[in-house]
Amino acid sequence: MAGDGRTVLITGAGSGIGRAAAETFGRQGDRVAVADVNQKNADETVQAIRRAGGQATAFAADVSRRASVDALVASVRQTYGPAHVLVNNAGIALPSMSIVDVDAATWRRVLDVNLKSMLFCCQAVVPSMIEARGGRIVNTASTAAKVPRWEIGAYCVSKAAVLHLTRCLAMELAQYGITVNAVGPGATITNLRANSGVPELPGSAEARREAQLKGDMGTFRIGVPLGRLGEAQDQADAIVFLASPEASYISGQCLYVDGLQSQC
Amino acid sequence: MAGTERVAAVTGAASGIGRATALALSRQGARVALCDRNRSGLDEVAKAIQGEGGQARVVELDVSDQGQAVQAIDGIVEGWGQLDVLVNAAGISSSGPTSRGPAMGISEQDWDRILDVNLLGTVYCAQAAARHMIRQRGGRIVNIASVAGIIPRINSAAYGASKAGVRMFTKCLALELARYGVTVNAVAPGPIDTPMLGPEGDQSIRARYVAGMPELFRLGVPLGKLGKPEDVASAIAYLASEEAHHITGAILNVDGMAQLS
Repeated sequence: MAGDGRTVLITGAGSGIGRAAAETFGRQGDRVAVADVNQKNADETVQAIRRAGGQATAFAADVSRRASVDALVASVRQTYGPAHVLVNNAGIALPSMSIVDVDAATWRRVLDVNLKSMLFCCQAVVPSMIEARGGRIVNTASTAAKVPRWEIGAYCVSKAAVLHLTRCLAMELAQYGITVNAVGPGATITNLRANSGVPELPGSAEARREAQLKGDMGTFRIGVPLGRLGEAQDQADAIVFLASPEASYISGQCLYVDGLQSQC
Repeated sequence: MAGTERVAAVTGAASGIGRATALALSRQGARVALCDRNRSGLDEVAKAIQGEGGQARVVELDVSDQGQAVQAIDGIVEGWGQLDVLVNAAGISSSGPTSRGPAMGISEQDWDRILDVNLLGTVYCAQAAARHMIRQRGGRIVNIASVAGIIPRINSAAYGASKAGVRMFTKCLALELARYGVTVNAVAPGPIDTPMLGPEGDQSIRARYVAGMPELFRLGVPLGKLGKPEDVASAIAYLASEEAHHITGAILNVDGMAQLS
């Protein structure tokens, strides 16, 4: 599965799953365009990749805005040539609240950042993939795309739409040899909440981990049958596989990397 | 079937599935608040209901405007004292020149409009209704999803994503309202003979939906016919009935098996 010097553009690559995926692509010899809304985080990812002997450049971009996406993709192209792989990983979490109380601005924001960003990035990157008669797109969905979750309904809705957009894009781009897939992370240790400006749940990190593993019947959430939380690297490995040449007959799929959490 | 004295609000009530649903609920004895942007269409449906001895009121409403949605729902409760059923039937399949083409060419404006009406319009009305139903400790919300929200359709990315969102919204809302005895379900129509399918009287497009479109990797309808708005309305009326009290978070296909998998 060694890389052959492809250009890989990853959004939300400044932390968590995006950073782990960026480092993994970097280790296998791909040129990694590290995009994040937070320049400092993107820089840190780039430094980690370079320390390991890989090639990477940081790009600051707000992927929920079309102009920012177009500028991003143009800069990446200038630096590394057209992208062979696009990983739409940028996303935000929301504070817990009843779905009855989520206001219009919050709905728009979560749909813009988690969903519309993906459309924008694909619209900007796909023309060069069509020219190249091939490409790989991998989107970060969530178990919340499949399973309704208590008091994070707007997030679930955005991810369900992400999953469906993944499949629609797969259908439309199949004729060009472009595959479009998703990974569906379950509970994964990342800074998603902090990076989204969402307060941590109460209790120590250890207590929160135990609660995730055990599940909560009051909010209708099972624990993790495999008995551990996911690491960003678990997701990264699945993303890198779906982006690999070996995955050429896989499209429109969501690979749930969740320790069985979506089986409820 | 129960229904006497119940109050139902139906969005998109001026035509198609919404209109058929309003008539079906009225025939079960419900007082029906007809909501739509199309005032003359609303008046026609209201007249039809009143002509059958039913009770209807009309509410001009663009569901994509949250303020209007809240005002409409609160106004119905104010006028009739309660809200037992909300049917979110307002929806569009096209919002501009790029909305029904390849995803790579959809404009931001067309994308936003489809999401605003189909998904957020459903959300705003359901949120407003839920507040009353929580207080009442009971109620029925029925949304219109679509087979196109679970099976990827070529040239339907915006519509499909909006309906995938409606499916998940239905389940999340159902989960959170379950403890109040409020049920939330959806129907998922396949091809239904409404103006959304194509210009009225265009038989060739209708025949293609039934037979399938191999160039779009799209199967036809195993039952060999298009659904009628009344077929969907019957399913909605059931999900909105007292009998359906143990069904929630469900998506009921009314599609002649157009969704094969």
